[in-house]
Amino acid sequence: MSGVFLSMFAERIKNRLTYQRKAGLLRNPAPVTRREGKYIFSGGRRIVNFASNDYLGLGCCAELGRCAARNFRRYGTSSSSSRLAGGNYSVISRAEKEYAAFFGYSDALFFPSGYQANMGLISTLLERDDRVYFDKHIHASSVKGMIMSGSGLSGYNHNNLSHLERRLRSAGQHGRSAVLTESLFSMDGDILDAAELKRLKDLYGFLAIVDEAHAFGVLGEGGRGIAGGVADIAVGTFGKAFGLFGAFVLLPEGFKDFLFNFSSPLIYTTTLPEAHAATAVDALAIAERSDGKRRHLRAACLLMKDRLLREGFRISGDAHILALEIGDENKAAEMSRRLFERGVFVLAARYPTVALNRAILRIGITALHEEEDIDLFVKVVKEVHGEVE
Amino acid sequence: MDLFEEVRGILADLLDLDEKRITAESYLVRELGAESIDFIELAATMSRRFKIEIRKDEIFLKRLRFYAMEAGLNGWDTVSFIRDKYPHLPGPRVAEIVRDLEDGPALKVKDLLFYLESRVAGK
Repeated sequence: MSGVFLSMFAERIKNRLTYQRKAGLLRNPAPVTRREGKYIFSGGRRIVNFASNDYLGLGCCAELGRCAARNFRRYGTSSSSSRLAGGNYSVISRAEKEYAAFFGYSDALFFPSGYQANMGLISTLLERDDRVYFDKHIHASSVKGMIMSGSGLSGYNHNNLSHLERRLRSAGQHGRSAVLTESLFSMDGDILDAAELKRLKDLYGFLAIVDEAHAFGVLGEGGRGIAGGVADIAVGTFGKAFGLFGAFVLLPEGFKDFLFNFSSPLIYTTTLPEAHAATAVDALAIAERSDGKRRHLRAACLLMKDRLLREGFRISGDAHILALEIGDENKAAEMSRRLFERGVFVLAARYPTVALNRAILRIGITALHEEEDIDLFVKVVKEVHGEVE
Repeated sequence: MDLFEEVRGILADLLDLDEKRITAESYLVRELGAESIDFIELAATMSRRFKIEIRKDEIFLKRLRFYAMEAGLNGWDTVSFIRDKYPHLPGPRVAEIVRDLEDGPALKVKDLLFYLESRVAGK
């Protein structure tokens, strides 16, 4: 009997995957056998990686690697407990204090992943009678948290703060409201107008929650991000510029205890190990003194954008994430596949990650990229664009 | 206010559009620029406004292409199969949608109205 039910599910799964394949939406990532700085190795070939969030190159830096090895030897490999059971280690609490102080917030809380951080924060903080205004291109984890919260929803067009203002104005007086946005958008690569958000906040009054995952470590003074003057709460991840894994939420006074007590994704999960927290502090110190890397990255981004615009491509993005507009999902996937064959790895971002028929090549530039890598990218993308057209 | 006027007002606010741009024949994604995230808010707003439960899969025809493919793979008549899945849509509209599938997301404002009318009538 169980075989009948198994085959019913198997049939449905097979059909869904067939549809995804036909629509150009099937995800089938290439196996990566090894990573070495800006390169990945696959099928015995060396490929320049433009799909990485290792913006400062710390994810493969020897110094941070040595720190991590030392910390894991010293503290062990697992916390072996949730934070609220036996895992409330002082090493983690001290690291959280250091992160809060560095970024200018009262408190910080570490989460095992960025997804859990956004979902755990938003779903717990917002409630049914609240209203949340959100940029329509916020991360899927924030959308999930927002839906779970049950609060009233008011979206505004991507990075269009005039639309946000119209929505704030038409809603009139409301009890508790919040605005959810990102400082550097993960797919579009454009930057929040933090000063304008501050003006709206002063005028209409709301809690500002800003996801700075792609900005922290790279943008702002010493990598402190760009929303410090307006955000009440900010979310960052260790897995991008900080070269580690996990995430952190920066909080005002009193909010940490609340999340500790009510945030289910935090309560019912094994906390990150002490060695992680100790290494996160090391990563912060390295990132703080990485102005040279930040300058190099900025120059590489400007060069890449300029070169692609000169070749006639439609490009958006204000910093180290550039979106090369393709449109058709199948075309974007095929271009990405051919680029890979020619030694360049770049993500074809497709629906539902971006809007339907608005597929892009999402170019992630890091401080490890040199001019020769950009030359290679531009040369190869020109070739495959002509072929797939 | 009639149903169309109410839906048009909701869409204009949500998508930041002049109401005059929105007709019953407007395509939501192709012409009005709706994104998948808009459908979350749209469903919640209409559910509250019209005091009905809204099934997002049905009102926004979310599985339309999958159903069309499923019908094709099994040799079934596509129009009949989709008509069964979306009983709120009149037969001629389903035939129109099937002809239109290759050109992009087929959902029109009038499809929302068909759904809302059927749900409000069925209350």
